[in-house]
Amino acid sequence: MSTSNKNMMYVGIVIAIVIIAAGYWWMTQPTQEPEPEPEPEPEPIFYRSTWAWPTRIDPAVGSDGSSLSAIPNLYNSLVRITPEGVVGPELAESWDVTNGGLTYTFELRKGVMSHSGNEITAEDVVFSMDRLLTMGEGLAYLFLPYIDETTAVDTYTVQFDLLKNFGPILTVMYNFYVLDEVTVMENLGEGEYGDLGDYGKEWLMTNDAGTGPYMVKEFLLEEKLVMEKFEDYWGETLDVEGFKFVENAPDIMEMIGTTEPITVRTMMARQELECTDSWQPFENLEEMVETEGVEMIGEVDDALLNLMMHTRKAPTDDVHFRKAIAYAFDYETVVTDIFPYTTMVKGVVNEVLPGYDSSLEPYRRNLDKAMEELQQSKYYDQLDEIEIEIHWCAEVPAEERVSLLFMANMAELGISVKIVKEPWLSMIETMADQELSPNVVVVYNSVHFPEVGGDVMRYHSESAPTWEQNEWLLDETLDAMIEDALETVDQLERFEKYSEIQQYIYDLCPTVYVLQTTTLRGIQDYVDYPYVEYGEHVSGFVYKVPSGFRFFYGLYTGINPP
Amino acid sequence: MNIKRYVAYRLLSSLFVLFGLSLLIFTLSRLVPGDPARLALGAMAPQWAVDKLREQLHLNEPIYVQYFYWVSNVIKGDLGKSLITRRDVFSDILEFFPATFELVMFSVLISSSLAIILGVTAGKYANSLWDNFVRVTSYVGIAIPDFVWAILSVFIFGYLLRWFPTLGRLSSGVVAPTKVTGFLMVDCLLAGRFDIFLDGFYHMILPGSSLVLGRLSQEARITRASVVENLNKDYIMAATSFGIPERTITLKYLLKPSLIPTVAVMGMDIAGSLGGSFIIERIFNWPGIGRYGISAMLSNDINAVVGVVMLTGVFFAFMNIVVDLITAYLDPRIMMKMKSG
Repeated sequence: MSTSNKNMMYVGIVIAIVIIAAGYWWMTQPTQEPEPEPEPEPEPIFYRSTWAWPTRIDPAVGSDGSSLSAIPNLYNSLVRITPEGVVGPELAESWDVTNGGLTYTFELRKGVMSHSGNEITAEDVVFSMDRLLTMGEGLAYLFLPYIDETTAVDTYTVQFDLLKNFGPILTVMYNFYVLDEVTVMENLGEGEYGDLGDYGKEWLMTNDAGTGPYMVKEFLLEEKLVMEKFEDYWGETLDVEGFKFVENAPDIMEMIGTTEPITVRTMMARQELECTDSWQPFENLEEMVETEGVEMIGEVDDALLNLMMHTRKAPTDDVHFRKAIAYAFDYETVVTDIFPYTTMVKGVVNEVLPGYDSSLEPYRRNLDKAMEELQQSKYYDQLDEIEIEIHWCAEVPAEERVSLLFMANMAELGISVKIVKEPWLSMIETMADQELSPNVVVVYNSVHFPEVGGDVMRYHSESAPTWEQNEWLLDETLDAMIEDALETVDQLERFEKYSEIQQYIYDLCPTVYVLQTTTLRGIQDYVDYPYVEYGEHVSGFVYKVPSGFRFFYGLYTGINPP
Repeated sequence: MNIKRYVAYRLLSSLFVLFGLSLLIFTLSRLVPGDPARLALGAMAPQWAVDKLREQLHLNEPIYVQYFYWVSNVIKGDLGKSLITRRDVFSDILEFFPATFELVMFSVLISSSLAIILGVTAGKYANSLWDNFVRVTSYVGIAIPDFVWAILSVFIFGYLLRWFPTLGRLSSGVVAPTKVTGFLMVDCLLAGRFDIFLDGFYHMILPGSSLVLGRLSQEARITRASVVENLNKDYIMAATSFGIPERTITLKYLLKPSLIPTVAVMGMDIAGSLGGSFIIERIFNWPGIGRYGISAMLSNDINAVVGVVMLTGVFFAFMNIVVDLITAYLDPRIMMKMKSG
């Protein structure tokens, strides 16, 4: 055996001994229990919904539908509208009304922490109201004419002194959200408010300084708002009934900025979306229900579709002519064929509004009555020379069908109609000018606050040069009635005054109340939509919910993903 | 040296074009009906708030004074505040432009490479079965607009087959890495987050490919026509008669001159995609500059409208210069002309 072979043999023997020794050692080791695998993190529960964009989450800026759906999840108000439709406590535990309704004093809950960990005190409430009024944007118009001064009486007591009485102030207060002053002041940018810079406006467009059940996780402009559950939410930490997370409350809420039907339908089919926006074509929703196992749900909301008639332009300046139009219009066809699942208006305001007068007999199609009214009109003998103009919004194609129906109905009375399609931006300009405003405009009107006063205030002369009122009533008597009702603190008395206003408007007949809108959405069957629990069943899948009541998924219903 | 002078000259002349564009779009944006301040603040906003905003926007001044304010601010890098997002328009552009740019680049990479391959092969084998196939496919691609492809691809690959996501840039629950460049894909790579990179890439496939077909078809047809024309030129025949291998002729002598018209079209396609991809961005909820621009137009967000149009103008001007330089590289005659001034 050569030397090299011997060396190789020795190396082999050494390796074999090492392997055997290692094997022996390993075999003789006490058996160790395998370490238990860590519990997998539970999958977060998502609630994803689509919305018409943009969403502005600064409570002093946002005022449209998607903004007012996001803000209450991030912030809290002093009071809220309860599922029963009355004003109830939220950040305020109690309140007092003194000084003949000119002073409102709120006692705040102690221990309410913001998302940044600061306790909310009366100073934060003062800061939030001052900020809202100074900026004058969003919903500030509801408070500006009335709030004189906001004072922190002590750490947990805040007082609002009013310039004049405003009966529905508590109802309106649910739209006033409290911000954490410290967080806002830490994030001031450059701006036009002196020492306060931009008042945190830019930062608050994509971040929050709230106390709500959810907090901003990520805000991707032009894409989506992602909110995550706030684990130290005061409803939980203070154990407040009605403000605690329910079982299976979503961990993440996404508000996605799209209403594209094909995209929304695909997302629903793939269960990547829990709820659609309310702008989906009815046909798309029906298809989803048939093929994707999606449920359709409808909410009779507090908006109306109106045909506003110019009361200072011939021939709609004649009350009999207007009444003839109101009696000739075919309401039934609209709610059955053009806007299915909507409901007819039973008076001059939406029936879900507190203060609604159900004693008024609504205008319904009755050609005999229409002709009677027309004969009393001063324009009856000039029908051949008359042509009335109806404008509809180019961005809402279904309004063209309403206009065509209007044209057909008026033809039965011998009235010629000219239909004009007009872009919204141009329509706003037209309606702001009394001379340019057409005889009739098709427009949706929402309420400013959940009471009849929040609807009829659009008939005040101050609203005449805005798109909210094409009627150009400029009626001093009505103005005084509206102001008087709004300044009435006693609710019953105020509601009686609302009834008188409704009767007055009914007699003037300035508007053809086409329908009460129903917001239709598609939802996954694993989502228990709160309407079912908190709304009043109307028919099929349509529910009526208290005006102003806002759903918080975390607080009202859970999601049970498949 | 002369190329530098040429670029400087082109940059200077682009400034005049941009000046003209700014005058036009600025005036148009101010002539659109509706008070931008009232629209931004709402019908019920107090008049003093509207007046204040009008003052900030200089809307009470004559239009030429407004333009003067705008130009002096632009020189300082301030495009004004957006009435929708309430942020600087410049910040908004920095936020939204990368999303569109990534989408456009994705589609350009695919469409350009495929267009060259299809165009060259179709041209070389003109009137063959392959050429006819490419021709018919191209006609279909050109005739059908991008948004139809987008809807079809959502339906087929999103709804029926469920292969690709159809919404946004990232899946639910996936959070983008910290912004470094603003370009999501680049930032993912810089942060070493390949998982998010792949998720982003996955989301880009459907919107990106929806932008591909129209451009691909047009560019393939142009390349094919150019190849056919060049194939009949004397120098190609001479090269062939000298026995130079076909591969060398194609890659070395045929491809470069044949690409000149294609490059010109590609340049304009890329620039056009910047503003023209808004429907795709809308369908796929892609947070890009096109979508932002359309939202701005619908809301009469005057500063944002002007900002987006100017960005598109700058990009067009830039792409024109790039196209000229590439053309000069591809065609030595143009290069010589540039050098000789």
